Amino acid sequence: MRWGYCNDVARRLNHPSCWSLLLLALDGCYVGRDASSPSGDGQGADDAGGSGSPMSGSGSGDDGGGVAQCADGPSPGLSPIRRLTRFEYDATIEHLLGDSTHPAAAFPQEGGSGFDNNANVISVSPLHAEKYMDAAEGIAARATEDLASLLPCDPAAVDDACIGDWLEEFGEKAWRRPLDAVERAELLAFYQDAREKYDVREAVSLVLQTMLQSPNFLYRVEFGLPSAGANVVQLTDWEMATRLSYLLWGSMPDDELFAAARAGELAEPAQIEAQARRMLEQPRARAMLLHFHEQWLDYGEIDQVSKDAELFPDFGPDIAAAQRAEIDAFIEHVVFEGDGTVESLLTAPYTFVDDALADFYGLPLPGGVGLQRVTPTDRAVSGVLTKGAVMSVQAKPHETHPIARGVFVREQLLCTIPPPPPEGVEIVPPAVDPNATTRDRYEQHRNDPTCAGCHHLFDPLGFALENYDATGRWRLLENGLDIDASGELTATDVNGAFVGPAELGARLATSQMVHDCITTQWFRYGYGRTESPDVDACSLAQLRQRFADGGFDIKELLVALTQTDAFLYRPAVEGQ
Amino acid sequence: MRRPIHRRTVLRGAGGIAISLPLLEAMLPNRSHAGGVTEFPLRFVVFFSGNGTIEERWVPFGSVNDFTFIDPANPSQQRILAPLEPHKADLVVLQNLQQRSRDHGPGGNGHDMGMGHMLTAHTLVEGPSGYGEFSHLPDGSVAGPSVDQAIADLIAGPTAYRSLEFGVRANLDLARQLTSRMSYRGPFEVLPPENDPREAFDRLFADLGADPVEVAALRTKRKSVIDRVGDDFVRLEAKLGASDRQKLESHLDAIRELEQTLSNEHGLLEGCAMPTMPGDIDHNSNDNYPIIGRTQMDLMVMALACDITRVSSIQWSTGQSGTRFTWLGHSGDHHSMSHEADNDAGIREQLVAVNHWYAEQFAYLLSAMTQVVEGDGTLLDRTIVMWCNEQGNGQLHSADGIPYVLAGSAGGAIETGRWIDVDGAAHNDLYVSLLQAFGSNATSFGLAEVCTGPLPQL
Repeated sequence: MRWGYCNDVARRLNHPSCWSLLLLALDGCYVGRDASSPSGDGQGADDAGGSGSPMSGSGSGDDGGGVAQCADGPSPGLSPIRRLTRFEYDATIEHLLGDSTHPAAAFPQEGGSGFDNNANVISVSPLHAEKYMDAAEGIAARATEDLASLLPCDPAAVDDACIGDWLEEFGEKAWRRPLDAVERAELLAFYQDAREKYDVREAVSLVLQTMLQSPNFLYRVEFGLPSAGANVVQLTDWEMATRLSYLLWGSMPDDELFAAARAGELAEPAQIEAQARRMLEQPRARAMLLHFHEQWLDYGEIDQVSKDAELFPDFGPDIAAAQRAEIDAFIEHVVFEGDGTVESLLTAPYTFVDDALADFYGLPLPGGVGLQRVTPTDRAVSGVLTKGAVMSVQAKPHETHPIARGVFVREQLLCTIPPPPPEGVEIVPPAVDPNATTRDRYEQHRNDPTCAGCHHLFDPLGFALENYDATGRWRLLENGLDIDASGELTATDVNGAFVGPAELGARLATSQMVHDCITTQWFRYGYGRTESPDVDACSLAQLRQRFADGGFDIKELLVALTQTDAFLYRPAVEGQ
Repeated sequence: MRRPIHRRTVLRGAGGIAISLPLLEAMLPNRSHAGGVTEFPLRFVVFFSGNGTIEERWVPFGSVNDFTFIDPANPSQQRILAPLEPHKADLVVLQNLQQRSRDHGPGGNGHDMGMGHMLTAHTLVEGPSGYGEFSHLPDGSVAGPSVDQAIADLIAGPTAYRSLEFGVRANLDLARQLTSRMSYRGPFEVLPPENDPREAFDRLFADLGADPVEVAALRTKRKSVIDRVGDDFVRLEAKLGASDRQKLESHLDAIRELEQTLSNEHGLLEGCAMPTMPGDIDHNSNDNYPIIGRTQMDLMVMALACDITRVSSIQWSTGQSGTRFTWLGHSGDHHSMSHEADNDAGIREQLVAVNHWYAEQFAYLLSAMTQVVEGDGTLLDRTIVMWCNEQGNGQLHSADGIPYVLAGSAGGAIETGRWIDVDGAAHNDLYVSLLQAFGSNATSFGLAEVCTGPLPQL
């Protein structure tokens, strides 16, 4: 749950990261100059100095001379080793062995920076090691139930040659590259040792367990092509196949991608792009897309949201699950069946409901089996902004939370981090008042000059969504009073007054800050790390350019992610 | 809910039949046989609940050695620590501890700060992303190990697990690792809790409940696999750059520790008994919070009694806990309630009730530990249990007035039955005292510049 109150105190006067926050906090967040210029035009917000921008840090790096700054040779940025996330582990096991039992559900949760795959915060505790062992045992037990389909020979006539063939064939898939002679020999010797004590099934199972607990399976190991003395190297074809598959599928390569790697057909950007376009048409891409969005749009926890049972007796786990299905279906539809644009994602007037969810929302029942696409005519629907899952998560158990909703828009869609409140401010949410709207109550603290300086940045964005209650249902009245859904965007490149979610969505859809933010979010998810404004400037500029050239089509951005310096190259490994 | 096949299923699968519980219990040592002979180990337990307290409803009445949790002038008023009245003789109530280390280092979010400093008494460190929403450090960490791990260095012994972390819906917030976690080996080496009681049972007690011959056979296989895997790590590490190598080294350390787990026999002390296998509880459900917690405490007590570990923690939810105490009739969530305590008398009473409920859980844990007989004492006598919080006043996220209650004496190392006002002493100092109680000669812990040595009053 995101908590929208002034709940933090900036303490570190001497810390550079805090300067901009502190300056703003001391100024009461007064935006002292026109901050409406979008990033990238060289005259707008100055990220580093924090001299007047409400933004700190992320997502609005200056692309100055466009891709011109890429002229000095490839600048891939950092490339920390990446461990399979729980999502990737499960998908990989499913595609490697047809085992869809989701063994990684028992692994410790992981995250940081908003995405589960941040390579800088992955760590391995003893609990992880034990869970990897447990999972590998279970997977191996299931996989060896049917030896005939696992091994390339008759299970009744297994000899070393058969195991050798299997290691070569299966090992290449499991470790996503051919095994070298030493590795093959070691695994064969391990099998032979085991075979002295156990039957074929058990010995194969033990080999499988070692392969699944090996760093060659659990990590995406890269060395790049040998290139004496170079700081930056290209990836091998096998490494590139793995980069592509985990970027676009969150899973291992398929046969076609492996074949391309084997044939040396993943060296040229055009070859990589062709593969990326093919891969985006596969069902595997959909799971990855939703996994990104549930994190970016912070609706992953809809499964655990519970509401006040007296106020919202109809909201239970079934509705929460239906709201997840609704937003998933919408995003999939926009990206894969629709035009794929940011505009559709943020403004499309339709949604997906079944009878139960339609009944909950007070919409006409669509009938049919499963989710149906509907375009409500009695309410403002604006893409993901008004989806039930987002509205329910960005709310309290018993009422809406306009501050959280406003901060959500600023943080996730505009990539601007509202500063914390100044020190010494007591944080008091307005008391519940049956004779006032939520907006009226929160407006009060906007009248307090200490708070207003910052809250004008996000409160009005949340107010504009007040027609959606704490469970995502449309309403015109609250406590018998009319809902006022007027809002205002400030300190953006789409400033101005507006009314309701549709106008908010329409403004955001044209905002370069939003486009840049989406680029940044995909950079972080796609590359498993936070961007560095200096080193990654070229890659970010490449992404923004291609995103714009492609009409802000999400699929084009995904293809673009395979064409940057950050993706096509890596730093050389020291001593290699 | 879909369940993967567990290793206990594999265990059973091999033999085809599960072993019934009475038989398992028969395999455990006879209590009278072991009594009086065994040297019982020392233990340390952390019990965390968050979002601060309501101090004037928490504080005892009376004097240092003669105190009560009930208000003599108003005996019907709900007092937070009242459920601990029967355990007074085993307690040290510590009032006015302060997280003085919070005045140093990076960080700005009260929950990041509170949780990160709580057990480390050290500064935070920034991650590559720097500052995020509400001044969180989304990929930041802590500068040093948590006190439970420092104590594990002293007392872990040859147990299967160096420490065991239990969670009760202690779910990781995707963007707020610091706020969600409390136990660390060191910077960026976080120890996540096990939130699923059934998984915990399987890990800890499946072996205890299986045919010893099968267990030994399984361990042999596991060790051979782990050994082979370790070789892969060693070979790969040598080829990697420094920071990647560090990650794999940390993974290899975890594997080495797993080898230790597979090598060590359970102590099977006098008080050890097979706990009941948890039912299939949805461990993510808010309304199951009480039963998840009870089950995790039962497992923890037996893990200690059976000498599977000597250091453990139970983390109730997280910093900034959003738990809804629906079983107490509350509709709001804990964190937002904590922001309204000073302004809304009704909410304030609810927060008293929340903390009172945690005191009941703490009392349950102490009772369970008292019921485990070890020689002429109990498990609790050989343990120090520390109930801590990441805040003092939840509304202010204050670093002072943090409520601590210790229980047990670690074999007489500290004098219990006391209520001590430490007058703003750094919580570092408490941890130095604890380290010394467990045999260390350390004079400092955590951030040295705020640590003045052991708490003189303790």
